[in-house]
Amino acid sequence: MKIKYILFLLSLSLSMGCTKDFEEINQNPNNPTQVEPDFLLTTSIFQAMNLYGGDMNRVVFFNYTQHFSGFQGEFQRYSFNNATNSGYWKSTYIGCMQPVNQIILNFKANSAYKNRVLIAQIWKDYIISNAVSIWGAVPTTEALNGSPSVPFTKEEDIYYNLLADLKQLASSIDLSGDKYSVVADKIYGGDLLKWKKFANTLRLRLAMRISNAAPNGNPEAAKKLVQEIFANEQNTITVQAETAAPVWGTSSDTWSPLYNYVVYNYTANKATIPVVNESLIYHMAPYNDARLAIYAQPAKQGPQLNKFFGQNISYGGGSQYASGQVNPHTGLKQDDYSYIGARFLKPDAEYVFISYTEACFLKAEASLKGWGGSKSAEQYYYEGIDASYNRYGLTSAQAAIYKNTPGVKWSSASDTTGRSSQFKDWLQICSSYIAAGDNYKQIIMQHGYTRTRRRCLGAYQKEQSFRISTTICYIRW
Amino acid sequence: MKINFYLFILCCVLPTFLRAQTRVSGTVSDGTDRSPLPGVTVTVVTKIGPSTSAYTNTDGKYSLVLPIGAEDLIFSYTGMKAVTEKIGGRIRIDVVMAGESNQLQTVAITALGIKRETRSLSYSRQSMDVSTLTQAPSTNIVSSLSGRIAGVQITPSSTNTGSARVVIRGNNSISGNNQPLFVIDGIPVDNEAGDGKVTTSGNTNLDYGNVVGNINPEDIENIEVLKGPNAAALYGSRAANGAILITTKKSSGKKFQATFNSNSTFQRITEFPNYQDQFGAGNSFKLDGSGSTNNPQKIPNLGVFNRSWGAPLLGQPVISVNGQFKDYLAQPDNVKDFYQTAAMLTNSIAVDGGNLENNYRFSYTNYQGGSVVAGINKATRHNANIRVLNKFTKWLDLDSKVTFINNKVVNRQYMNGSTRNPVYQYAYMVRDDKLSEFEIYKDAYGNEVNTHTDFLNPYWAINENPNQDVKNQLLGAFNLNAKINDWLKFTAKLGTEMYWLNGYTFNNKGSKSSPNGSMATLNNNFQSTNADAVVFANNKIGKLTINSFLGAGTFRTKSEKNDQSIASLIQAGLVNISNSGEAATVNQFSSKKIINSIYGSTSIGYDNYLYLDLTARNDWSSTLPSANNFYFYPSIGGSFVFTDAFKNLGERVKPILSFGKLRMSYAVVGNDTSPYQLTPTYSFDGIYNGQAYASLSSTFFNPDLKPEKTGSFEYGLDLRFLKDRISFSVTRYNAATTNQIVLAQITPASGYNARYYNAGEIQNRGTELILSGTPIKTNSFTWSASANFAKNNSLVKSLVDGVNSFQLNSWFGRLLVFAEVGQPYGVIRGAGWKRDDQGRKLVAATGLPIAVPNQVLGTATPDWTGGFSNSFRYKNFNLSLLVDVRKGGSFYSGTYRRSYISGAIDDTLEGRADYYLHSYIYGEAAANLAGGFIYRDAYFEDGTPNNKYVSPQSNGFANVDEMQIFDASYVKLREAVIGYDLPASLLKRVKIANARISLSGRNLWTIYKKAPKGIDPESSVTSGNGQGIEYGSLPPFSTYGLDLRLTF
Repeated sequence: MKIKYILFLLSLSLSMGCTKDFEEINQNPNNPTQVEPDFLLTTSIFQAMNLYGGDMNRVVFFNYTQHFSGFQGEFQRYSFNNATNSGYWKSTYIGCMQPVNQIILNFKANSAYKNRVLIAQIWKDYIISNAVSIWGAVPTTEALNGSPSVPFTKEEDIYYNLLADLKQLASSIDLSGDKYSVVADKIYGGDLLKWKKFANTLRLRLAMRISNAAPNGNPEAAKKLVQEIFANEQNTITVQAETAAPVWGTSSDTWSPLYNYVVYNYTANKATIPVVNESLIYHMAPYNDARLAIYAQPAKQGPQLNKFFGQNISYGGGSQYASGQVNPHTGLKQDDYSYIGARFLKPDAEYVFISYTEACFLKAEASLKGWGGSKSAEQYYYEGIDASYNRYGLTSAQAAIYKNTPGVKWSSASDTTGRSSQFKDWLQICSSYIAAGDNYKQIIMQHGYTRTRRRCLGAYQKEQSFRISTTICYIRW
Repeated sequence: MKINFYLFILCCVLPTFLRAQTRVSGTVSDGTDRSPLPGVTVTVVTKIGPSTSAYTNTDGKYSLVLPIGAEDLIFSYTGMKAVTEKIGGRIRIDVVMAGESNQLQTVAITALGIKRETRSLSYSRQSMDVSTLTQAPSTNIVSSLSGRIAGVQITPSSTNTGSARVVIRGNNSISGNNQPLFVIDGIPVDNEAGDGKVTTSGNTNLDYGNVVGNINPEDIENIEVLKGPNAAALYGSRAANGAILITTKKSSGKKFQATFNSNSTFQRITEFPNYQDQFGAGNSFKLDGSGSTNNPQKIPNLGVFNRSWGAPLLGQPVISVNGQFKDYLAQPDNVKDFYQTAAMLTNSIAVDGGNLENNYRFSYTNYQGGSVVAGINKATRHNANIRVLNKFTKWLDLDSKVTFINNKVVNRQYMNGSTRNPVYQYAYMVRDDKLSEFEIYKDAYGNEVNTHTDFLNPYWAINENPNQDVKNQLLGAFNLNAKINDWLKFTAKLGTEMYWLNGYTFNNKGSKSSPNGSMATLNNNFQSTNADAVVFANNKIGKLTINSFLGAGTFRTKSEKNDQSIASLIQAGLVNISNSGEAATVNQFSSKKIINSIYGSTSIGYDNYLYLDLTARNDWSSTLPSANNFYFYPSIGGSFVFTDAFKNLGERVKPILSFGKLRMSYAVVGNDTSPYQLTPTYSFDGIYNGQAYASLSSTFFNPDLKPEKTGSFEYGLDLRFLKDRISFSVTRYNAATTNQIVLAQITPASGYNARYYNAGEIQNRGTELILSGTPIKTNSFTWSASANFAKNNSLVKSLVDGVNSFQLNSWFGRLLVFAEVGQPYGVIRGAGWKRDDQGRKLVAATGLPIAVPNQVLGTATPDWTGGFSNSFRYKNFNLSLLVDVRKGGSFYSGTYRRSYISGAIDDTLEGRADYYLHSYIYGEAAANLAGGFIYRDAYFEDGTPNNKYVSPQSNGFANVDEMQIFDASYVKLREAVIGYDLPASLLKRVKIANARISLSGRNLWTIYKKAPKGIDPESSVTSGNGQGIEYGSLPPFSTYGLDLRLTF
């Protein structure tokens, strides 16, 4: 009998003794507790491409700028959907910012990772710069630390903070120091100088964004900042190869969201395939802009076969107008319109974060204000058009013809002879008519053709309804 | 008069040498399962009357010195028929006692499988009537509990192979598990829900069924429900939500006997939505638009429409979804014809034999199941069970049981709003579609054809998305009992559960929703082991009985979940993971957890009427940080049998009040969490253009987690009247879980989706009533009835600071189910209808309802639940009926929403013809319509009654979620069984001992409900905590069965 007592006590003590290994048992064997910065930077870039170049791009930005058409849903109808907006918010902070934030937190103290931490910071600033243009005041300084209530930073302060931070970051990069591997840095393949230029060009973009008159900007501060950047102009983006434009992949988990929606899931999405909006075509066609053939494909069927034919933003409308005229859009399907250009529908299309083209037009705008620059506004303007044509594989001869078109040619007016209706203004945002000597509008219009528009709305707009449309200026294909 | 139908007695008398004796001893056991009966009074009767007496100990043993002139021994025990034995010179007298009636159980199985007299228990308990379990089987054993037990709420599985939910006395945990622990023959088993990955929108994941769903009803002897911490505290952490104890059958220990049972049940949809048959496919009463007349003949092509908002169905020529010309006519039965009658066949054989000390029982059951949708949920199950009792020596015996279950399901149904769920597709099928138009579902190139825009072809869904899974499950339980001496006993238990789940899902190339196809395989395995050693001590000092035990145990669980998926197939139809156009995604998750415990209990009884129970347990869990990983929790309870306490008074009232007991108990149960919730980790998410990328877990882990605690206080009264013919029991309880381990959703600006906290409190208070009795009992006719009622009020008292609500479920982000401070658990929020001060509904100037977002629209939990069961026996016939009631609570019907928005149901006819007349025939402008759809009971904001007619197609229904919320109350005839025992005289000739034939029905009649026609208020998109949402569920169905049982 005694043996049983002993057995019992033994098992009792055994079971108690085991708690020593408990911590070891509770170590997660499935996931690492630390990873190298390479893996995290890639995540952040990839997530940013999918956020800005994904659903948000299709249903919000390009819908609101009337570049695309063909949607169903609340956002798409200029309404608001909490769940969708939360999704964007989530991607911004958790998907895009947190991975680079982890690089900063984990490697800040380690000098061997100095440049990589700096680049992570530059990239985080880029994400914040987009967030502030979309939502206005957003959490910045106290974000990302797991706290359930996060204070928001004032919109103005975010701009000043970003500008100061980026200056510091750009100047701290040690060009002979550590770098990301070629394959991990999907934007610049680890090139440190390009990151430095990226940071400075982003500064230029932000400075120009606050260049409007108060209360929508602070021209004095902007001027100072621009002059500072121009003093170091060689460290901004100056050539095509410095365009920050990673490409998506060709496998189902990495291909472009637009390809996934329009091409891969064509049959499922047949009724809502985004096609080119008629506004875009009406803006570009009068100038015979060769880029139209890049942005749009001729209609493959329907009444406007083989022509550039855009869908109207009201998705068809009634079959007859009051005057008895037949609505040309009645009964048409998405397939009857111009598809988005093949370049943008590739699975491994590129996504442009900041382009050489944009850098040129930003400088043109700054130079026009008389804030400096090594070239004249006109030179920057033409350089921008050339850069855009070059980007899309068009010849310099084509660019030359375009640059000589009335309205496009520096300080010239649009040739409206016999076609004034084509330049009819629409709420002061849609007309592409250029008056003689309106250089500012010429620059802005080129921003639009390179997939930006109405950037004149500038920073910290007080009306929320304009918030999203402001963003469009800064986020492009 | 008092003939008891359920009585059978077996006495074993072991003759011994005849000699002069002074002492007699023996064992008293329970006739139903041969287990020893403790606490039986053994009285010696001499010529002059009753003399000395003794009680049996926990092993059912007694021993007493015989006085001179002793003649008989009377064995008495409440609820058992007294047995009188002539001593006749024997020194060993073993007795088997039988119950007086099946209504009144006096011995109950309590935590850790310990049998105790019910009179000594300090908490309410209820066992389930399992008599109809095999005759009217449900496809998931959990569903069979519905309506039978007070306070137990069931959400039945949505399909025959899906997961069911069971909650006892409300939800205790904000974000954790709220389902009770299942214990089979003393061994806790895993009951993980199989639909954890299935979302409301219906993604590509399947519901694999909850683990205990596969338990074979044929093997079940008894189901005892321990409702909450008071009864289940000794099971520790995992029993905070109560426990369901299942005891399986043993050999009767009599002689060789074989039982054969054959059961066939048939399932049919019994209630369809009322579809409208006046308007067909189209939009805004028209058949043109969106390219529908893009053909030279300008004949409308219906393929571009997916809703029934077209023109009146008058036989116009149209092009149908399959490209053929047809007349535009209603197809009233197009949904009905899609469903078939499903058959479920269960055949089982059981043999048992041996003697009282060494015996065996073996059973085998084969189950084949189908579905009301042809081609899906084809299930095959084999259950084999062996149970052996060995008595090695006088003091040592071993009870062993091994169960093996093989469960294979082919083509599980995709759930909820999945485009692969044909049930969902059919809920809104266009009214002029003929099923034959969909029959050809793919073209010569293997691509899906014959669809209406996003209405995909249901036959493609059924035929081109094969899946299959096989689960092998092994359960073993070994109980070694050693008798150390008269008052000390030692038990060692070892229980193990293992399962292996292997399966694949395949989605063929060519579908509209996923042109390249996809495939995934999964291999999960799970193993849990419980080992316990317990020492029991039972003493009797005068009128005091002290039963104590002290035990130590360890629980270890290990699981591994692996899956491989490919998002692109090379060759259509080849079901093999190597058929991959790109690199496979592989996931592996292994986890391990250990809980070590010591526990003990003392129960002190005084003179069989006053009892005090104390229990304590301490757990050490590997999932908590080392500083907080041990937690102690006690319970205290008492009961007082007042009818026995005041003997003089007792004798006078006993003819009326035969038994009365007051009881009270307070218990605390601690709980831990899942493994790996303390330290942050990263995961590798894939490879993007040659570079692997990683992300931090979006859950903020808490390195300082503490165990959570559920405290429960309950008290009650048990009364029995008229010689126990009527019994009544009432219980009140108040339970609160504090320090909850909550995974709270936090703002994404924090960089995380959710964070672990030790916070929050949910309170559950309620009342349970049980009334049962045998109103009529004659030689040939018996009527017994039982009713139960339970009301639970839950209240979320607090959550994390700064977090006011926790989302439990959502319907596309617009309709949400929350645990919210100050509200009952499972509050449903969505857009409500704006009302004025007088509560009148308001419409805008357009006549459309004004929606107010984020309104409380209802609660997912019921006000009360109840059941009423009756059984009648007349000669060889018997009839049993169970009525199941749920009052209150709400649910959101996504199916109703979808079928309304699609214009498919007759509710959409309101004002439709009128609108057509005024708008299209008379050509009235939208602003000045004189007819159409109108919200008659609504008012404009200025207080004038609404007089604006609108289009029924755009009447704002979709913007007001309130219009899709329904009362979830129901009264259902849950079960009806009529049986006939063939007369013995007839059976003798064919050497059959017993034969019984019965007809059964489940869910035969929905006596009352408020949900729309064709929608079952019991439907739910999940078996998880986020109840209150229905989407794409099967319409109400009934099951009819035929059962034959033969014993040889």
